[in-house]
This record gives sequence, structure tokens and C-alpha cells, in this order.
Amino acid sequence: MDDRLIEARELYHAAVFGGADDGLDVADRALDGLEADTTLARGRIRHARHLAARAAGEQPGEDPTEIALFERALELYESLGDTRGAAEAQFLVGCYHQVVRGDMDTTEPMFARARDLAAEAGDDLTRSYALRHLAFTAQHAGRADEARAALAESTDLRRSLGFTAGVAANLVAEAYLAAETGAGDPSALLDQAATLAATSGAHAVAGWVSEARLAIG
Amino acid sequence: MSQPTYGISIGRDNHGAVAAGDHARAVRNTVAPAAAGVESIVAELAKIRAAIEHDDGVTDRHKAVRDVDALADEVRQEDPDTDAIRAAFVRLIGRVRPVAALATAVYQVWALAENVVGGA
Repeated sequence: MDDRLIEARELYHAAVFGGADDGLDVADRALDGLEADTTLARGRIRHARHLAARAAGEQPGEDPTEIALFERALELYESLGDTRGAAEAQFLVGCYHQVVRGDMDTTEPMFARARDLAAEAGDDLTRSYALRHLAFTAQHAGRADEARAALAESTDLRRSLGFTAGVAANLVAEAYLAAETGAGDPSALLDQAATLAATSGAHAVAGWVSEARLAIG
Repeated sequence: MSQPTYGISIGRDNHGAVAAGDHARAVRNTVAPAAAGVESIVAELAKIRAAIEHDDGVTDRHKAVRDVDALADEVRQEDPDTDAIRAAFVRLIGRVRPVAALATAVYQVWALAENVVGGA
């Protein structure tokens, strides 16, 4: 059982049987933290299902439950002052709008906030995700230099974390950007991505590499 | 710990704003942004302005106030310059970043603005 549930149960007993009701606020906070983690995790699972359906060639619709879960988690983390959790939840709120809703125009503030919160929390992994998706918004808006810089920063963070599959994914994005702008060598980037995807067992990313080769030519 | 809100609240998140976004976008190509949405943005910017004026933690406070005023002016335009709006929000975020609650408020208004007047 999660420590926070145990703590809440002990505080309940202390209040009911021992008259120590000053611990109930602590119990609430413990349960809020637990709820935030569970809610975020459940949202992630729904998001993964959405992506799996798309990968299988389906066209899944929007999922109001998924966004409600991410927003609830964000609300809880913020109320707890949990910056790391808030960064992750804020990123996923943005991800829902950009990836599930296909909204490329209005997500910059969401990812920018996720980036800043992650930086504040020292969470380089979430920062790398936020930067990657900020790059997509910048690319879509025609700000290629900004997109390139954000992707490069994301990739540097991922390399320093040893997140090889994430580096490979970013190289695929860099290849598309290179092909679009004529700056850089898309083929070389995809070769690197393929190697990293293979060595890290990132089969999905390897598939993206193949798709990119077909799309870019 | 919960942070002070400065009385700024445009809703808990971006969800409502995004829910209104499709309509706002449909309007964008025809006439000026929905007046109600613009008024919400202006009202929240006014609260942010007041908070900035009283918070020593904001970098270059007077410039931050100018950014807020410029934003309020721009979103009221019939054909808002979305590039200018984005640039002003990015600058403003940089100035209020030391005050977490204010940064949160600015991000929320920025998200609302992107939905009402369109992303840059």
C-alpha cells in the first residue's frame, strides 16, 4: 500500500480514537498527492491508448476524460506546491491539445509554462519534452530557427540524461525540419536516429525513421 | 504551499478557453474577435497590471506595465497583430518569472488570448 494511504489511515485513527484531529489537514494533503499521481498516471494510460490506436491506423476521436484527468492532476499539484508534478501535468495538458486535438496554434503558452516549471523543479526530462513540443509549435508557425534551437536544447538534455530513445525521436524531428528548411542533412540525421533507435530498442521510433525516409525521400 | 493568486483567476486552466477556441477561430477570419473574450483578456490584464505595480519581485516593473498596456491595446484592435501579442507575452513572462503566481496568471491570459485572437 502507498505510504500516503497508510499515513492517512493512521491520521484518521489518531483523530477518531485519539482526539488528535490536527492531523487531518496533513492527511488531506497526503491524499491529494496520491490522487494527483494516480490521476496523472491514468491520463497517461489513456493517452498511450490514443497513440496506440493511431499507430494501428485508426482515427481515435478526442477524449474528454483524458484532458480532464491531466487538468485535475495539474490543479492538485499546484495546490500542493509540487512544481515538478505541475510541470509534468502542464506538459500533458499541452500534449493533449497539440497531439490529440491537433491544435498547433494555441499550445505555446502551455508548453512554455511546462518548460519553466520543469526548469524550476530541476526536471530535465520534462523540460526536454516541453522543448520538443515547443519546437513543433515554432516550426508550424514558420519560426524555423526557434524550432531548431528548441530541438537542439531538448536533444542536449536527453543526451545528458542518457535518454537514447528520446534523442532518436528528436533526430527524426530535426530531419523533417532540415528537409523543410534546406538547412542540414536529413538523411544523416535519420541514419543517426535509426542507429540510436536500434541500440535502445525503440521500435516505434525506428518506425518513425522509416516513415520519415519515405516522406522526405 | 499554495501561492498567492493576486485575485487573478480566469478559470483553473485553459480548458474553457480552448472550448471557446473553435468558435473564436471561426470568427477570426471574418470579423473582430468575440468582444466578450477580448473583454475577459483586458480585465485579467488589468489585474495583472495592478499586481505588477505592487510587486518588487518583477524585473523592470515599469517595462512590464508597458507590456501589459501594449497587450491590452493590441487585443482591442479589430485586426490584432498576433506576432506583436506573442512577442509581448514572451517579454512579459520573462519579466514576471521571479514571481511564480504572476507568471502563472500571465501564462493563463496568454492561453486565453491565443484562443480568442488566434495564435501567432
